[in-house]
Formats: sequence, structure tokens, C-alpha cells
Amino acid sequence: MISSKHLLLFALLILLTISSFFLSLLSGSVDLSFNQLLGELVQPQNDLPGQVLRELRIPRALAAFTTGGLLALAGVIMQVLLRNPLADPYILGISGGAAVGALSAILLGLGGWWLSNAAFAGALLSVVLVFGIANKFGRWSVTRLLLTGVVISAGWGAIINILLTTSSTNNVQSMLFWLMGDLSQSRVGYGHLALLLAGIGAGMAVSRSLNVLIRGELLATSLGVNVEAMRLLLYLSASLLTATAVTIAGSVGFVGLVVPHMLRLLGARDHRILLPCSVLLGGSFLVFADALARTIIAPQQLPVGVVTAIIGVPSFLLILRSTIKR
Amino acid sequence: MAFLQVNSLSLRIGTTQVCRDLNLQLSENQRWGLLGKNGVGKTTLLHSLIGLLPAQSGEILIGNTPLKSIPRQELAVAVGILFQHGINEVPATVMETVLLGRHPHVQSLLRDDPADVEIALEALHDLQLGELAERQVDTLSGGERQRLALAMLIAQTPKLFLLDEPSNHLDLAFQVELLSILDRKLKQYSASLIMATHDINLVARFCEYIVLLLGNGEFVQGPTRDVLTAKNLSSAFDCEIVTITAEGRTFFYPN
Repeated sequence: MISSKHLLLFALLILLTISSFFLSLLSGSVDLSFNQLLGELVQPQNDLPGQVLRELRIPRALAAFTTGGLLALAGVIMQVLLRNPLADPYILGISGGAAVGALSAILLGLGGWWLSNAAFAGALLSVVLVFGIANKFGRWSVTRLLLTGVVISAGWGAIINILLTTSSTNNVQSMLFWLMGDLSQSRVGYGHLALLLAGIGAGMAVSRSLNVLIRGELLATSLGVNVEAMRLLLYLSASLLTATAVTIAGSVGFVGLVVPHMLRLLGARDHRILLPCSVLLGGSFLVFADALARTIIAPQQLPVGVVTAIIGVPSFLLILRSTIKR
Repeated sequence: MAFLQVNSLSLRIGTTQVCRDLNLQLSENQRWGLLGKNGVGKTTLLHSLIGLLPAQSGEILIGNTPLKSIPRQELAVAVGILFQHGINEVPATVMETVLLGRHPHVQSLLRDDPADVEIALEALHDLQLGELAERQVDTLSGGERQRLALAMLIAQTPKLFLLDEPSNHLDLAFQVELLSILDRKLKQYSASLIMATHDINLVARFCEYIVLLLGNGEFVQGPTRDVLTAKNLSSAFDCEIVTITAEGRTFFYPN
């Protein structure tokens, strides 16, 4: 049921998203005051702050928001699909496949377009591999999918380690940044944003069915959910969302696992409210984390994946503690 | 016209032959009991009637339409089932849970229809859970949880109720209360019921027809009075069952 409490949560998350964007746009090596920022947004100027804003900060904040939103959405879907609280977007080996693709590109000295596409190809390869093997011997079950994904993941892990140990120090640095999740090279296009919107739309369209499916496949079937079709839809959409997210920013950890749990602890258990809230919280969380990653040890940058964990762990524990007290 | 028609159904699960060549015709307002010893296949038979398990051979028709060609959602409007293992542990309130019973009926994508909420609330009151509506499911007792699962099924308002051990975890008073609630609901929706249980006396009191599974695919079926005999029950349960008559009713108990 959607209550006024849920709507309040949603409104607060909209505010959080807006403030995360302001923080992100204001922080960086070129000083920009709040009034200047508003002025630039209303009437773009062709000065240095204006250029930094339009060419660096806005694209980067958008990339952060999109990545976080995609990951949180994929996290919710994976947790329903696998009915496992430890499920995250990477559990079925998608990030592993993407990492092998990306690291291979780095090894070959390729960057930019090649790197992104190698990562995306690796992710898709992993999706096909896991699904093919899990599906091969008759009816696929969630347990079989989970086991196959975890094993394939371990296989990717081994290849990643081979690539890391045999690469030059220079390459290893870039590889580690990719593995931890890094937004410094990230750009998003309309395609990415459209995919995020389509993901929310599709999620909302089946949100009631997700509420039933999370109670178990037998019950969901008896209440009229076409479980097999739904499982396939969830697997493919979570895979596509995750593959896109890792293509933008590498394997940013923590967001996809923890954001849905935070919101459930805050009472957003109905997927009609959990899905949109996850996108907002996941997105704004990554925008905040990225702003910090750029400024904590400026002019050096931290990989954003490190910062998500540094601020995510205490805030999750805080929410966990406050809900236990109640 | 029969609401549920089973034509020469054969069912097998693992190495157990549940039934061979079973024919059933169940009309509106009929109450059937499904009896048999542990592991004989009562749950399997119930699950096959709602398409959760494939049949070896034979045909199941719901309102003259083959079960296989009815879309899941339409089937869920017509047939509802109470699972033996009740509802699983997902953090939720009682009200959120019972509303799931309305899932096959919901029209609006996002909004909860007040009519659905009302039906769900009524189901909670029927099962005497009205005061627990905002409670978390994991704080309920076993009996309360079973009542919640029953409330969810009643909120589903199916035309055929399949009940797998409905009296599980219920105290004596509520077992009797359950029968009167079910009686009321069946009349209200012109619905019928098939109940799998180990409580022979409950079935004897409530059901007009019985399917007694004997094992090895054999069974006895017919009106309660004909099927529920000490001889049939003794052979079905591999133990001597005797009867006692009191206040005009026959009771069964193991000797």
C-alpha cells in the first residue's frame, strides 16, 4: 500500500537529488559561487566557470546520477529475481565479464570508445554464458541461475587477477581505477538516460507483480503471475541495466546492494514506491560520492567506488540501528 | 454444468503414483474432502488442479476450458489455493499481505482500489485479524499466520477454493470457526472447495464428497457416507480405524 509516509520519502529524495546536483556542480578546482551557478543555469555565459560547468561538471554529475540509478534499479530487480538479500547487480558475473573486456582493452592500450564497448561486450558475453548454461539442462531454476552466475563470476575473477599480475604498473593503475569504479572518464548520452527511464517504466509496469513474486514462485503463480516470463524479463532487464552502468563507470560497488536495503528499512517495501525511490537514492548517492571523490584529496581524485563504501557503510549501519530500536 | 472436470487424470511425482485414471466432476457449492496417508500425493493432486504440476496424462477443465489454455491471471480469478506451508518470511504488515490476495483482480497500475482494500479488510475481520492489520507478519503466532494465509485466499474470492491442510496450527475453537467461515464464503460466492487434510472428523462433518487416496494410484471416491467407512479408512491408513457414534454423528479414531 502506498501511504503518505511513502510520498514524503519520495519528496525528500527529490530534494536530496536536487541538492546533490548543486553540491556536485559547485565543487571542484574552479571556484563557482551559488549565485554564479544559478546565473549560469539561467543564462549561460561564455566564461571559464561556464565552460567548466557545461563541459565537465554537468556531464559528470549526469553520468554519476545515471550510473547510480541504473545500479540501484538493477539491484532491486536482482534481489526479487534471486529472492536473496545478498544479491547485487554483479552477483551473476556481469561486472566480471565487463571487467575482463575493459582490462583487455587497457592492456591493448585502447581507451575511450573501445574501452566502453569492450566492457559492454564482456558484460553481454557473461549474460549469454550464464543464461545459456543455467538454461541448458531443462527448466532453469533460480538456484541454478545463482550457482551458475557465482561460478562464472569466480572464473572472471581469476582472469582479472591474471591480467592484473601480468600488466605493467602503469596499466595496473588504470585497471584498478576501472575495477573500483571511476567516473573521471565517464560521459552519458541520451541513450543511457533513455535506458534508465525505460527501466523505471518497465519496472513500474510490473511493480505489483514484483510484490507478489518476492513472496515465492508458487504463491506468485497461484495469484496469477506468469513466473517464467517474469523471471526472463527480470534477468534480461537487470543484465542490460547493469551492463550499461559498468560501461559508464566501471564496477562501482555498494550502490546496487545497499540502496534497496536502505529504502526497505525506511519502509519502502512496496515496489511501486521502492523502484522510483531506489533510482533517486542510488543516483543522488553516487552524485554526492563523486563530488567527494573529486575534492577530498584534490587535485588528486579517488575512485568513486571507494567513496560509496566509505559513506555508505556508516549510513547503512545507522539506519539499521535506528530501525532495530523501533 | 461442472465447474471443475477431471478426465482420466494420471499423476506421478518422483516414484509415487498418485492416481491413475481419476475422473471428477465438481459443481457449484460442492465441498470435497481429499484424504490419504502421508506422502500419498494429496498436495500433488491439488497442485495439478491449478496447473502448478504437469499431469502424466488426462485432462483438467475449468468451466469447460482446458486448464492449460487459461492465462495465469484468469485462472487465479477462478481458482485459489491455500498452500500447506503458509506464507513465507518477507517483512510486511498483515494488511499488505492480505491485499496480495487481490492481485489477480487489480485494475490500476499504481492506485489501490478502495473496493479491493475493503474486501481485504473484510477478509481480515472474517478471520478475526482486524486488530492486527498493522502488525508485522513476523510477529504473528503460527495460528495467526495460518489465519492470515486463509484471509489472503478469501480476499482472492475464487470460485474454487483448494485448501491444503487448512486446520494446520489452528486451535480447536478456530477449527470449528473456520468451517463456518468457509461455509459462509462458499455461499456468498457460489463457490466450491476441495480440502486436503488429515482430520477425518473435520471432513466428515463438512464435506459432501470424498476422494480417498489409497496409494499406488488407487483411490475411492464418492459421497462422504459411502467412502468414510472404517474398512476404507483402515486400508488407506494401514492402521485399524474404528468408529463411535455420538449425538447422531459418526467419529473416527485409530484403535
